Amino acid sequence: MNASELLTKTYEVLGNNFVFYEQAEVLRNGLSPAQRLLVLLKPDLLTRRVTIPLLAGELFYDLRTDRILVNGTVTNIANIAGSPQISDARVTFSDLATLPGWRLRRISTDATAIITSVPDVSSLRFTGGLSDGTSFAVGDAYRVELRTADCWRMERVLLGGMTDDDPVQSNDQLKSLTPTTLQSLRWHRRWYLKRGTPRHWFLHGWYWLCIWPRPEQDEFLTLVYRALPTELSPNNLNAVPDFAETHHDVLPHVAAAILLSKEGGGECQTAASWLSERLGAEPFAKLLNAVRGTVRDDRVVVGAT
Amino acid sequence: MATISTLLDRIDDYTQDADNLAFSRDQKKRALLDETARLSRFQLFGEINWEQGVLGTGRYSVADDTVEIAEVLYDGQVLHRTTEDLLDRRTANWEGTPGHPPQYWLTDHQAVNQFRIVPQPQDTGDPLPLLPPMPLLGRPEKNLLVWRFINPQSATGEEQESGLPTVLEDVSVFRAVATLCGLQTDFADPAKEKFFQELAELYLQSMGVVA
Repeated sequence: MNASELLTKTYEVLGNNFVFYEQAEVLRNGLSPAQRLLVLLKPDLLTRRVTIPLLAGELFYDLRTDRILVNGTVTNIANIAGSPQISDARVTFSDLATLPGWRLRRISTDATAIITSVPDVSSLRFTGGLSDGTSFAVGDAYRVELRTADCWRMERVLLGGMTDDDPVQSNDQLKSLTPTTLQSLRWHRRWYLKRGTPRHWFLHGWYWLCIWPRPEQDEFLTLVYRALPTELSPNNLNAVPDFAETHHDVLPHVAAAILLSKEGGGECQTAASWLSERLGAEPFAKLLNAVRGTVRDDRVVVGAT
Repeated sequence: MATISTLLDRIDDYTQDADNLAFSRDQKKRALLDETARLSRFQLFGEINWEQGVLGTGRYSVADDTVEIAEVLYDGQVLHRTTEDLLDRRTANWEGTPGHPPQYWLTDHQAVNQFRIVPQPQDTGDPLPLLPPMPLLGRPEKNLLVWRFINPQSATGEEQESGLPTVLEDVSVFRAVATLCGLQTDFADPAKEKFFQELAELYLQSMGVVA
């Protein structure tokens, strides 16, 4: 199901109330959070494998960036309220639509950076303008820096490339690194300075992957992680959720429940029962039981008192 | 990663208060930032910083966004975490005992973004950059490396990014809505408060953030 079909189904659950629930709101507050909730409850839905370089002597890898620059060209500008400063402009970059899973880091030109908001894979909305007072124009070239920030749980870190059936060795090595912790490494007083073949990894917070010992020569690693789905956007209604279609039909019901809750009062109880019914009837039940423990008649009552 | 403004718009939607009649924009922003700060206390957002070691200086400060200092290395080597009380028991005049490379670090009786190393360094570290490793551009020799946890949303401008992964943006928004609906005002809505609290809890427990 693509975003357009998911919208239609969500509206059906909400009684085709197009006035009370705007399309952008359904995507932003309903379907996108529903996607994220599903992959959290069932992590197997979305796992990614990526290969990353690790330079000799490097100890850290920032999971937020992949240091890739995309040179985009402005192909469309709309909703410009005032020139030369722009507010609420939507700019379409021709080559971003082909990079699902990537998120905007920043847009810049040789003149200045532009403050951005509402990142999207196919277009960008932003406020602000060029500091030299000039305006944007169709055909202008901009440097677009992207990042991935979609890892929510690291599962494996491997030395070498193992993204398909043909493993690629990294300096004659192909092995799984074992997880460790900063606390464990404290027992090696000079752990930070040690160099050698990487054997362990740990995370410092959400974003920093640390490899130990630091490699003596350039290596490459494969990261296997639980990923967050790409946000659905009103600018690309043909987009399809990143996970298997077998679970797409759950999304409209979960989205509708989250959206309905804004009405408050008794509708929140209805929303809670919708969530419970839908999630409880799906293979998520076991997972929900594990994380919640609030179970009634084999169904999880999300909003139970 | 969305801007604060975008997240406030989501709160407007969930509270049905786009006109800010029930809650002011500042009230919503405060609730959102409070929830971000609350999340940051779960040690979710790590940073690693280089600090120059300075001859005779034992007290160092890192950025104001610090929630907790997790580890301090000097000269590329682990310092042992200790307390003033333990040092008092061991050495009567530890604060005035020079002559050794730093062996301990402590945070008690300091601001949350400050720490002390004991004994004080007897050298000043080289400030020349070294590449790699990233993100530490300074040399470790005679210098400090600080592992810390931060609150990613120290800035409050509405057009600034939240600093959170999208999934934690959901949690912050849900909890902020719950907070607002739980206020003892004419717009209090206990059912909505509970629903959004539970939804946020479901997210966090699924991520293993809340035990």
